[in-house]
Amino acid sequence: MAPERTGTLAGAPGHLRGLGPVSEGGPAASGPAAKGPPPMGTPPKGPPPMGPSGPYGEAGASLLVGPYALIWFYRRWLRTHGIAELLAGLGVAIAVALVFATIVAGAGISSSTAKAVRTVIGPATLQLYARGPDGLDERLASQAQRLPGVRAAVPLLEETAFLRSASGRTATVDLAGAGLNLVFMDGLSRTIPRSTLAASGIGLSSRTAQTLGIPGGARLPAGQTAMLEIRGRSSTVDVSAVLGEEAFGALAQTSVAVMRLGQMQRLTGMQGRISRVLVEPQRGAEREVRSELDRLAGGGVEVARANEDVALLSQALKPSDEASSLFATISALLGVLLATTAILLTTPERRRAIAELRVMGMRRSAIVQLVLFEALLLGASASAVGVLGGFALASTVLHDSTRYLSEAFTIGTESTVTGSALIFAIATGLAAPMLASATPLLDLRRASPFDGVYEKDGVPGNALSRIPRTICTVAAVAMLASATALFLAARGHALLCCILLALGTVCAVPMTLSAGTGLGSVLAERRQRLTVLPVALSSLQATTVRSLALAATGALALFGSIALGGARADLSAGISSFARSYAADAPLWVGTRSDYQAVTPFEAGEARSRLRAVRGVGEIATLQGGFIQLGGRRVWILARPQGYATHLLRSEVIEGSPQLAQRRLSEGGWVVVSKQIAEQQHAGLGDEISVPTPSGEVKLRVAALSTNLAWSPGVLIMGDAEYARLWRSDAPTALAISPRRGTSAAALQRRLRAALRGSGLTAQTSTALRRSIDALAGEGLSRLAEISTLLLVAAALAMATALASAIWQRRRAIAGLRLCGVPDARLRAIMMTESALMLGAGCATGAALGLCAQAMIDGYLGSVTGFPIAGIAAEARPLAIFGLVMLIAATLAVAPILATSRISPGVALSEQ
Amino acid sequence: MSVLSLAHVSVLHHGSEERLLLDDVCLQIDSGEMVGIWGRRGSGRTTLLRVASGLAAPQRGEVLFRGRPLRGPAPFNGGIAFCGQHFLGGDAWPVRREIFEVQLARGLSRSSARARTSWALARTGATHCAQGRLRFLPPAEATRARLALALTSDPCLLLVDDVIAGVDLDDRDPLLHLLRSLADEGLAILTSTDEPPALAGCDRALTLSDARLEGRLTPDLAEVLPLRRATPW
Repeated sequence: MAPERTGTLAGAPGHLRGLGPVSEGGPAASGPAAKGPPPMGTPPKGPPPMGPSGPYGEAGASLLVGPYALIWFYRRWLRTHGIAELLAGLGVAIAVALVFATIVAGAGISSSTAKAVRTVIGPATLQLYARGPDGLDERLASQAQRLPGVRAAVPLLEETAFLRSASGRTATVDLAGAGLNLVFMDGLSRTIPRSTLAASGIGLSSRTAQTLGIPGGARLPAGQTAMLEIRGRSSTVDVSAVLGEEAFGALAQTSVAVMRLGQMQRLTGMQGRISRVLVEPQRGAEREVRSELDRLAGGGVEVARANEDVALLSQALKPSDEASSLFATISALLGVLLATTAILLTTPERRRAIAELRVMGMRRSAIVQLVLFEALLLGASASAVGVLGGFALASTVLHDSTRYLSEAFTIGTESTVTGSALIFAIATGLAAPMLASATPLLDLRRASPFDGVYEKDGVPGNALSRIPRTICTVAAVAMLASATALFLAARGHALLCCILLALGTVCAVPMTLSAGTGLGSVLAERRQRLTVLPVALSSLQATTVRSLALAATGALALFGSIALGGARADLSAGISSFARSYAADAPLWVGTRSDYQAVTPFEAGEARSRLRAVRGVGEIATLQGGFIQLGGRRVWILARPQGYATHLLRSEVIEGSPQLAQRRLSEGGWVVVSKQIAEQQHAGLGDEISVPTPSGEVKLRVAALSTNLAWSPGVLIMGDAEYARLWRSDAPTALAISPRRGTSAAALQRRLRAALRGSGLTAQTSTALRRSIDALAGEGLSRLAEISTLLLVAAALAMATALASAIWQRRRAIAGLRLCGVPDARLRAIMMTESALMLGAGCATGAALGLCAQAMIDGYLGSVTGFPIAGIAAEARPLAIFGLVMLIAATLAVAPILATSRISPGVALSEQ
Repeated sequence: MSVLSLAHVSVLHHGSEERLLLDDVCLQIDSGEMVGIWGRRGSGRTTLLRVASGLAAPQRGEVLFRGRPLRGPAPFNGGIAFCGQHFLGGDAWPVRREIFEVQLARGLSRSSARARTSWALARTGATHCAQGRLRFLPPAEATRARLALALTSDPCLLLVDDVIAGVDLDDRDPLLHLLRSLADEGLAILTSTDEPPALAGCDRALTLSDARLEGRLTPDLAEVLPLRRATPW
């Protein structure tokens, strides 16, 4: 029996009807196609003829359908399925935005920091830099200048400083002390106001000024001052200039400040000392200059390429970049899959439309062109919207938080839009609709009856036979098994494993949905009072393809949220554990503000005498630290007196005995080193590693291997006496204060702060320090947090549009039920049950496989970043995410369900 | 009290050009009465049924159902039932299953739903086609199935649009007999058609032309229009 027409081609323009015999043996005599040509003299109402032929297979016809005809058919499609198409397009746009934002955000820090470093070093290609915090002798610069082949040698003093504006706003900056010769060498002499380095003031980058709330340009008020705290000293300085991009280039967008070298030396107490000498060799003389510099440097000063910071930063960012890349790639993949499921939701309509066209006698090649053209237009529009949305997300929501690196590097923070991000996002937006639209084209197989979609039970176009279900189940099991085997063989393949798991999640959905509906049927059979459940189950079975697409959306949402969110939470929990043990080694910490790693030295003499005078102060221990360049890494050094690294070692040592390590550190000649550094140096427990110090290269033996204490380049822990000897410095970078018996840490902290007022130092309890480190380390993971949050939001939005789309497509059936007298409240209950069954089955699948992916990502992050990572069992996060997503889904479902439950019953009487 | 009463109802269509679909229409229908509206396509028949069911609101006049003003969609559960040509509320499953699930959706227990479905199918003579899907049934059987679904709500007013449209000549009279028998059991029926033979069995036949309803608008002195003999189904 002929199927009921859905009106897709009803009213097709005159010249599209009756275009000769049907080439594929279609029912030429049935339907409007057989009605013959329009009466003579009747102007056609539709588009002009489709070039040399129509789409109906005339003899000698061209295989291509003309563009006007394609547009005409698409307009007809939109007229009947406009809302569904809009929702599908919205789903694709959300996925494209997710893909674009995550890729753009991933390109951030490195490229903008390279620009900033190039601005500082200018044409200099070599540098001399100090290995210790006390710097180099300033005279080295003039000695270098006199070397043969040197065009310019410029001294530079750099230190992390803390600024407070008159309005009370604060900023941590890289303060550079330089002379005019640096400005001349960099070619900034024509752009930077001379007064910046000539006067006794400080020049701020526009980013720093913005943070401090100081207006730039002509609006900079005269007499504007800022409080500067540096190396435990506090002083008031005039703000002489705010340097924007026109004057400062890429540095304008970094947190830096500049002042005259002499003034900075005076303020820091480093008279005659500098951090490095930038050297510009004459053309062709670089090798010669390098050897001269090596000779000049001796053993205690490092000679390196001027842009070494870029390489060091790249190394420091590599683990985080790799983790971000993993997250971004998984996120992008899920975006592609979400886009595909958004289109799959409209598959039943597309299948019905294809059946209509076949019954009308349209050529198969023409149908393929129509379907692909529709997909192309939808994909292009959705991609445009998605790219715009993604760019807005990348520049507003996603940002590079680099405070955790600012102690060691000058960091740029601009987002960079790359061509590849744009191409990949648009390709996603185009490919997903094409792929999803290709599914209904399977109905064009010669063996398929023209109106086969109407013959199966269920809403036409929704049937999914046993064979594809079985294939999906087998594929899901195979992918899960392959992912597990691959991960066990090599953890580095986590990305491939996650891709397999994500695809496996989609493939597993038909199986779990069948299992869910099967269980529901058994329950409904046993509990006769459950009258809503069987109706909802029946409705699910009637709309199989649509239900599967919606369940797959939920599955992907949960998979991504749990895999990425859970892995990030594990990493965060691991870092919290480190922060707790790090801070617990002293009840109270005194140091320079914002120096959570305790790497900025200060003069202890005056501070000690102030602290000793405070009531309740017991023991005062000196903690030291800093950074060294070791094997292309900027390694964090911690020097601790005996007993002041107990908690840290107990928590962070992963190979060796913490107790033995502690004893050996106090003996001297031993270090605890992070595992990556040991692996890089091919050293195991008891082996020697070579460490560059101001006293020259020294060999130290490995007492134990640790995590990297959330500092990705790695750490080196040594005894305080050893450090003081090798670094020839007794300047503390932090003081550990123990309260006397009967004095609380909080009370003592208040008294210490009062005593240290105006000194440039501050006191904080171990709890406060732990929170600060937690927050700072959390910022280092902010990219991962943002990607996982973005994915969660995108998944929620995708679910919302998918739900709205699915319910919109059900509106006629719902209107029919209203016309049959089904009360609104029961309609809502039916739709809620349907949604819960669909999303529940999907989300459960996604949650289960998401947990597997989380374990794999944890393993990968552990090996790549070397960060401390908590186990899955330590967090109830997956359950929380599951609950959150289900709550979001339920909330999102309410609006379309309420709207649909009030749909006019008259809709059921209207033509489709 | 009349089951349905339309008093001076007017409906204006606001399209590209304004058009009066119903103009000052008055009509009363009592229990057990079958009223047929005859009119050409586009004469406003369907609009009249939609107004009578509350699916469309008149710009002027009043619609009373059992003496109460009808505002918004009618009480379709136990009040008014609508049987239209385009009613495709559910066509995913065989007719019996569709009707059964509607009963479940209304809140009936499984056994009650099953019993009511069987009764309705039997009452309309659709039992033999209950395993087929609505879209594949011949028009007469499809109409019986739709009537069965309509009867399950236990209505007191049945609105039927184009009852014999597309139905073979041989199958028309049994359908009209069925409607008449339902009216004889006390059901008020308002049916519309563009084919005069469909008025057979009606207590009153009215015409709708130029948006105005003509004929006996009240039930008094009504005579049943003769039915032809029909072969029982």
